[in-house]
Amino acid sequence: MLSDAKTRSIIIQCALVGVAAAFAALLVSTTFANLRARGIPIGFDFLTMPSRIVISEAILTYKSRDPYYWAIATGLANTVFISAVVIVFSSVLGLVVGITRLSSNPLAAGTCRVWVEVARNSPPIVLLIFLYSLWWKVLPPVGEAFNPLPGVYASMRGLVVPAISMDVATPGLLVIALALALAAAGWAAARRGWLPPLAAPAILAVGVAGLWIADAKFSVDWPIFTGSNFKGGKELTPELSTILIGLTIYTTGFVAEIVRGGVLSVGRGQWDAGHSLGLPRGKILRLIIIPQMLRVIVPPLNSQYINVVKNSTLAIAVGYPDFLAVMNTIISKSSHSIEGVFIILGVYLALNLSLSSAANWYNRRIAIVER
Amino acid sequence: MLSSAAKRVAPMPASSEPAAIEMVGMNKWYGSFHVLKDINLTVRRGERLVICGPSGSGKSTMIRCINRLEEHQHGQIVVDGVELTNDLKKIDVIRRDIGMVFQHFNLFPHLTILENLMLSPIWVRSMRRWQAEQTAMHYLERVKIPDQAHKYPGQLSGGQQQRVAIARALCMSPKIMLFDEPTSALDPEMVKEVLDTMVALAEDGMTMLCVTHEMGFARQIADRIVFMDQGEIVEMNNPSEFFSNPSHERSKLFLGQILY
Repeated sequence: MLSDAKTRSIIIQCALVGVAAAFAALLVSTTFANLRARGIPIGFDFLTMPSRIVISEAILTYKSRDPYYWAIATGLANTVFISAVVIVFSSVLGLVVGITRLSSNPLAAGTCRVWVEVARNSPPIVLLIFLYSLWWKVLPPVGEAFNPLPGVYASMRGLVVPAISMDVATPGLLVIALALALAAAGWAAARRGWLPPLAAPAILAVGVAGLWIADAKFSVDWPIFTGSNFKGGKELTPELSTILIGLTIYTTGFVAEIVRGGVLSVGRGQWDAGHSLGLPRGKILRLIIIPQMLRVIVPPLNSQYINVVKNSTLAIAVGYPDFLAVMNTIISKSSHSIEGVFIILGVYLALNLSLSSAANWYNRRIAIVER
Repeated sequence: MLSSAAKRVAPMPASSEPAAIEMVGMNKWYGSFHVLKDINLTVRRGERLVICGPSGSGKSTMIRCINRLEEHQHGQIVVDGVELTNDLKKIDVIRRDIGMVFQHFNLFPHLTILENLMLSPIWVRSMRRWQAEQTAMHYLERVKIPDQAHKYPGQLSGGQQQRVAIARALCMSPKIMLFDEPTSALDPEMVKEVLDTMVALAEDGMTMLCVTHEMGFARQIADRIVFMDQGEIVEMNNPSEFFSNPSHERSKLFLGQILY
């Protein structure tokens, strides 16, 4: 009976599971016993108690009298915000930089190459500390704020950008219009990026018409300097600006290389075929190369997105309260270190597994049909 | 018969049709490697040319120069009265009027057969979608695979894919068709269906330049056969003369090797 392959494999697996379970039980019981012996409380009850910790800035509204779970949520929101912004910007910039690196224009290609090499070959923490020091060493005081783009001011106090707010008279109509536009965009995505020439303007027109019918009023709140500080607009602290800009620069370098590899992975023959049909270079890229490249670059790109989430913990280097920084404070304040560490592990695992499953879903959707 | 002294001078075909392609003193180098040496060739409208020669002789490179997939460094190429220079607009105009079929089909694997055919009529000729679809179906019927329209290239056999590639080129209503070893990557039993399609095209009076080793096909449709070796046009003649009485040592050697 023991020579039967199936039986043997079941026996071995049962034995292994048994050993692992016994080891885990031993760990847990020893930990509990030791903690109890030292009088350290264990359990998740503390989460509902008032935290009394200070979080210097937050996307959500947080006061120090809020309970621990809300402090955790605030830290998590900060991390998700950083990751989302960095992922969006580095994807767009990485696409541009990666494709430009293959350009025949030596100046453009060279510039992008410098970006990629600097970003890829410097430790991200060095990049962040360097950028952070720029706020104090290079940028002027708030009264002489540097104005690189209309409405954007950079000074020692951070970045000020115009804020856009929307006021809708009939929100129901707007929802319908946006749903229509979204459905059209979904249909377009299902066409695998292959659209009749007027599709993109049409989708846009549906959205704009919806906004117009619903009588939505956009107001842009331009920052105005009042003599001592800025009124209006949205202020980003030097800490948040540094982590956003620094991680975007860093991640763009990697995304650009992945994009370059993706473009090169599409055979020369596809370019030949496109050229021989009279398609100009830009259209070959958009209609033929990029759709095929996407399926090659999604898995490595996903690894970079996961890295963004993990690298967002470097926020601690410039003093921005991301999830890990908040958790550290919570652990030292509440002395629930075991629970805290489990929450940290669980949250990063959940974030990254969600990213992976989204990437896998997308990858299955765009797979090439064969046979 | 060509004398060896006249071998570099392209003989004009008897037809009085205007020239579709004219190459005068065309040279091309890859770095220091001289791939094409002083090519002189005139192709008349409606003419069918078969280009043969040993591998590495520059046949593919020469026809790829005609639609500027390769750049030539010296001499002149005039297609339909327009000279090929670095002027991107002119290159695009010329490419629109030249169809090309490749050894490895080069269909777009992420698009269905129909979308493969509709892509350039829509984006280059600004055709309406329904119009492009009609054109595409017309040519799919011509290459006898309208029932495959909604499949993807990966689901078709090699012969079917190559016929799709021919239909895709025809959708742009080209004036000239270039074939770069269209049957070399096919399983033997699929060669005939592709050659039949090409014969039908030839009978419709399409100007064709065809790099191929299918000598039976060459004998059947070619007005002239161009034999190339080491980057030069060694011999140019009508098929019956070329096969029965090759004038050059290198042609004789080549024919001896491939006709067994």
